[in-house]
Amino acid sequence: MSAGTRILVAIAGGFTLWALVFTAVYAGHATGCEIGWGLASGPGGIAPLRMVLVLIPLAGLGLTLAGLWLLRRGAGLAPRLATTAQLLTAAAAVATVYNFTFVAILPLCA
Amino acid sequence: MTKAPSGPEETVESLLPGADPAPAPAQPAAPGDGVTDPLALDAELRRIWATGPGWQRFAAVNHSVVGLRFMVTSLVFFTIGGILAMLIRVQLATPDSGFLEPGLYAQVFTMHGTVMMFLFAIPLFEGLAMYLLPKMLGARDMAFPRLSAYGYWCYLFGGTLLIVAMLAGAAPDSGWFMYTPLSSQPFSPGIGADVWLLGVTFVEISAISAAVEITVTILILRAPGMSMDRMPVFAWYMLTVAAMMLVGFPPLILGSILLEAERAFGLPFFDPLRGGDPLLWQHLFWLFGHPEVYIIFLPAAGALSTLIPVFAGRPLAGYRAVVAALVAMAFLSFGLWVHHMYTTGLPHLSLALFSAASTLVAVPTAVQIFAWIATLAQRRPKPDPKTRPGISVSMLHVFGFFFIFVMGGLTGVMLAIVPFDWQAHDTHFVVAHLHYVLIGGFLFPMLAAGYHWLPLISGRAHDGPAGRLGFWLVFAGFNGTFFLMHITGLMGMPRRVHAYDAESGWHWLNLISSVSSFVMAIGFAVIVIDLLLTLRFGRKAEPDPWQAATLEWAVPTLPPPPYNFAAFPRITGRADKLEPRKLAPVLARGEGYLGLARHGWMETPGVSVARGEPEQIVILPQQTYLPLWTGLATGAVFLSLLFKVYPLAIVAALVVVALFLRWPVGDHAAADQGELPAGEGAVLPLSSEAPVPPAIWALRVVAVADGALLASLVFGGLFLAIAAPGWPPPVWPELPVLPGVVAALALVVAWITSRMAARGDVLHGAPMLGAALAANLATLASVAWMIGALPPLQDHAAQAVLAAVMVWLGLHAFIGAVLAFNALRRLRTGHVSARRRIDIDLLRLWQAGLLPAGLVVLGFPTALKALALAALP
Repeated sequence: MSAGTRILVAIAGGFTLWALVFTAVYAGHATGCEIGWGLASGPGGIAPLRMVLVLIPLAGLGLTLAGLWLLRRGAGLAPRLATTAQLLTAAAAVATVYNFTFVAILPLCA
Repeated sequence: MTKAPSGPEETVESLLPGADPAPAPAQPAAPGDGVTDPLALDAELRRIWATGPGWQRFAAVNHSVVGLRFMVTSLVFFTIGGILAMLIRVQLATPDSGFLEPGLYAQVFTMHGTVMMFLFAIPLFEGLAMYLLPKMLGARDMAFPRLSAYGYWCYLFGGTLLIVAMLAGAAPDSGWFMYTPLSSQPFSPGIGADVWLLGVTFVEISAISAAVEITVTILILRAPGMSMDRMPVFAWYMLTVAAMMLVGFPPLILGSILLEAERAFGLPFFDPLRGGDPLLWQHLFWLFGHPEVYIIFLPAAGALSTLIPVFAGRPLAGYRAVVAALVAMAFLSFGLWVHHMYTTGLPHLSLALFSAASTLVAVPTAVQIFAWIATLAQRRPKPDPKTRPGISVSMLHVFGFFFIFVMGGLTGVMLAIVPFDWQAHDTHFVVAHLHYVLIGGFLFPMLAAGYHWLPLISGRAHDGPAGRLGFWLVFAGFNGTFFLMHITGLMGMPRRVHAYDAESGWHWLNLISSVSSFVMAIGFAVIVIDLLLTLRFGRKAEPDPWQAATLEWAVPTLPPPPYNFAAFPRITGRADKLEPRKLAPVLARGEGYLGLARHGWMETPGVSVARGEPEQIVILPQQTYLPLWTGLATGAVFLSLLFKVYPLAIVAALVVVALFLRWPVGDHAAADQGELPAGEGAVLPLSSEAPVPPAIWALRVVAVADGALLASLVFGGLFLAIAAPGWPPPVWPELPVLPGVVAALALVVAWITSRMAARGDVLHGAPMLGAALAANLATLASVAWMIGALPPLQDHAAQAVLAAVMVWLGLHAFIGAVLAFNALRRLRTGHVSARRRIDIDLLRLWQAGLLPAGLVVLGFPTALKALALAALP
């Protein structure tokens, strides 16, 4: 990976994951409600759509935290950029939690 | 190619551990090394870089000239938009006013919004960025000066089209957001909506051009040694803004194309009776429209982050947090678009998703505001020695910004909350909020920036009290105008109403708003007069008058010469901690990189993205009329579409292509030049012989915008399939299989042959280029076959969407064919060699991107059908 690409991934990686989760949750929610996944009952009485909508942010959060761990171990960046990248990735993790927690709580297709 | 030597002054950490440039062996001296006659060098560089007099001004490509043209033109449009605002306020000053009849009022408020958003705000910061960035980064121009000039002409012609239409009484009248179905043909039968759709798209060419230009310039046209972490913070802001433009503008361009296709040809993308959905327009528009707010704010914030440290006399507090905040803001701003659509009946969970993101974006905004306050708090602002003691006019506007923007931000958080928005939606409360955000977040910082950089741009120092008077009039007038709209909005006054009853209780508030708006207008007039007087009678500015620490103040004279720097320094620390007063005479003597004038070439250093190590000598194009002709031809395309003379539009489009094919010329590219001395011991290849020249970067950047457009189109199709009424259509529009297979194979062949053509000795690549050309034409023919096999496109949105994605593929295959043809042509004329392979590399890169995108397009019909059938009730 070139130095430029490494910087791009380090700086933008966390929030790119947030954006992908955002898109997947929004699109998944709209599609799931249309095709009836929001009403069906899955394991434990939980709607399959609910499970999908919870799993997507969890996966995104896991990847973001993994990225943060890698950054803290040292991604070969200069100190100022490394700090910026860590700040951004940590912020992306917080944003993921804040933005998607309620998919476990709110009515699905109302 | 060699690395520049590390001198004993190399004290700042390099970007990557272990990547410190090793001391280079001795290199042959560059022709300009050790220049002893700075005046001769100055004269020669001026001759090379100058814009000619008289008619030759139409051939100008220099970034200072084009940047200033953008700024001045945008201020002309601002004046027009301001006059329209005055008309609105006169109409609303009294109940039941007959000043403007309803149809004209609709045109006036539509044009006010359109002019301010598309013709003033965006071009103003584009112009400022074009003017400042090369000077701040250490370059002699932007990466693609002709693209800047072409963008300017597109902006001027597109804007003029809108204004002329207004003067002719054919202005758009559906609001600056052009909601369907109001803007659809049955409800807006004239050409007003077409003028908006085509005129704005014409102007957007300029915005995309600027985004490409700014991105590539920041990435590779910097002074040697200026690694990314040493860049001035303004460059980080503009890099982020340019990236946002690349992703944010394509949805609007796509929406405009689809709506124009509906209006002109009856393709029912937004007609719910035929499988379309008006909400698709809102999604596409606000996918652009909300990031747009931040696209407008962030350049102004970049100016604040640059000038506040200057006036505080200390570096920006929390530089890393500020960079992190602006990148976070860029991403978050794309997750807010639905907060303009809370009342459209979306599920609650979706509303919560966007409401959360909308409140979240306040956090990075606050980080920046607190960083500015902290910067100011740590040292008293220096008194402006040339005016009375106290804060400067520039800082007055900064404080105006703080007051107004923070208020606008707080009401923004209120509107992000769904229940409150349901109450305030489409009321004057929203009008107040958006003006507090946009005028507070853009206009006041830009006025601060204008006064800050006035000595640089004009060479004149600002004196006198008129600037202060202007500020206070604008500040008082603004708050008098818009603060009261919060109240009228909460009292229930809707937006866009032509008149209101005397019984409504809104009368006095509206009257005070209107009077205050005239106070604000007088304030702007005072500021204009103040600036004109400064330009005409101002005393000569001293070098670096604010004792700033960025490179733009290290130019040899104020205003700067057209070449900016006679030589380039090696940046060994943060580029916002320099000493321009000491640096300027050294550079003016030609001491540094490229301190020479060689063969009349317009040279500037090109560096590696991350570390800023010199990698190439970028040869920039001299002044030429090509951007003007290309802009005129592009204008002919849009006018032909507007007046529905479609054969002429096709001819004009072909002329545009032919003109663009004339762009890649230059005597330096007609033969291998080898590596040349670049000063400071560096020996570098020309950009035409570099492994990754600016043109390759440009194509990569364009691919981002192109991908965003395709993604928006795919999103639109899938959205209709699950959300629009009347899906699936009674008979599914099946595409024939054979042309699809042929197109897929042709895409693979084009990719393989373009790669083979780029291998080894490209001189024998003609057969492969020919094959790539043929494969692209085969794709084009297959696409035409598939579109021709569809049922009438007017019958249902399903086939219209399928046709749209196929048109996307066909257009890209056509461009691939043009690139292959161009490479063949350049190979024959001797402009391509094993070292000079840009034309072939462009084709290779294009085909490498088109292959996966094309396969997605070819698979899209199957996915669309599956989704539509799955969503059947």
